[in-house]
Amino acid sequence: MQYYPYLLMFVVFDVVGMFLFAWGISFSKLPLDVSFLVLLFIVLLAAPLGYALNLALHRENW
Amino acid sequence: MVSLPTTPAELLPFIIAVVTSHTFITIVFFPGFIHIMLVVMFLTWYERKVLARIQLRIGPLYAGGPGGILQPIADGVKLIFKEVMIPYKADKFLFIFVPLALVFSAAVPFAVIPFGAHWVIANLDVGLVFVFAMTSLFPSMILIFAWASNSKYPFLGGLRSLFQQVAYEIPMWISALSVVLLAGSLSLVDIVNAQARIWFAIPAFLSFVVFFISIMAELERLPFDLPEAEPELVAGWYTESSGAIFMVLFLALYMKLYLMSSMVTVLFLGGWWGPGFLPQPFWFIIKTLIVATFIIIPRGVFPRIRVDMLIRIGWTRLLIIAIANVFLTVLMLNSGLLAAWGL
Repeated sequence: MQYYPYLLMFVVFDVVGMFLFAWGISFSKLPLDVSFLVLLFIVLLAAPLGYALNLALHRENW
Repeated sequence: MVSLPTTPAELLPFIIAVVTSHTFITIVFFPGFIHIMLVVMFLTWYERKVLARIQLRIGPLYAGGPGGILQPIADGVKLIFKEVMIPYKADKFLFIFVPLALVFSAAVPFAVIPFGAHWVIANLDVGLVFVFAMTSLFPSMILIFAWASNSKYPFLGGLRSLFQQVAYEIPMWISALSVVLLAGSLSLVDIVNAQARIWFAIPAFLSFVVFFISIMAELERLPFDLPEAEPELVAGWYTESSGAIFMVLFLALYMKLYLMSSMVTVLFLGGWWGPGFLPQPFWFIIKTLIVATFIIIPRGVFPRIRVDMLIRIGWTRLLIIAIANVFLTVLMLNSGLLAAWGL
């Protein structure tokens, strides 16, 4: 059970990945500021990702 | 489109028209069933031969043909005539059903892989997502099979397989996202057409590396073959399978190897593009076999890594590199660096 948090992270990033594909195909038609918002969203995801990875290291939580 | 026969006299022309139609030929012969079966049989022999050369052995030799190339047929006959042993407390339905479902989910994505400009069964608009969706059935199917065999080593192997494939699926998707950004389409035919002047392995080199490592983990190849780790878990998640069931599982795994190698070719190595003096499918298959060789070679070279290291590498290093490459691709597209190649 010590690798369980990675599965929870997968559930989040699976959905995010799918929506990023939708952004990817319409990238050339979108104005740049819309793409900027999407990229900002990816950057903002980095902090929770790091926190989740840090928590996943603590086996006593799981 | 052929009209349905109404009288018995029209039956024979109808059958001839169906059999010679492009759709029938693509489904049954060339990118379809017979071609995939032949290549998968060849790949099982080829892997053993490559590993033997690395370890200074001869490898399969006595089964007939040049270099024992008929070895897969000998293996197939042997496995078919062996008794299928199903463990007493195993779930019999799932134990038989899941191998078939695995072959299905490995074979169906070939319908959207373009082996040439006209050698594709179905040009889906969402071909890339379709391939990823079908291959992401694998971890859950493997876990179900491992659980159904009701034995501790298969279950441990199945859990490891689930964690590993789930950890490497996201880097694989995000690295394919750079290709989607460059090509502006999810259709595999459009993606290959966009590479007419430059292979995406050059502008999206980091993605190429991440994608290659991720498919090695998805395919459970060394150094990521923890789900089958022979010294720890007898044979991993297929320990309890035998005879025809083992053969079907083996078929599914090698089909997935061929599928993932052809995905690398489609996304990064220019698909069917090559010098024009040979037909397009030839270049595609040559590139795919070269990629498959590079997937096979580490099996004779590298040791296995630890499971927690494996999962953390997928989530920290590869995911960060893949996301960084998305930013790099956006930057390159906006700065007009790639305008010379029509991107």
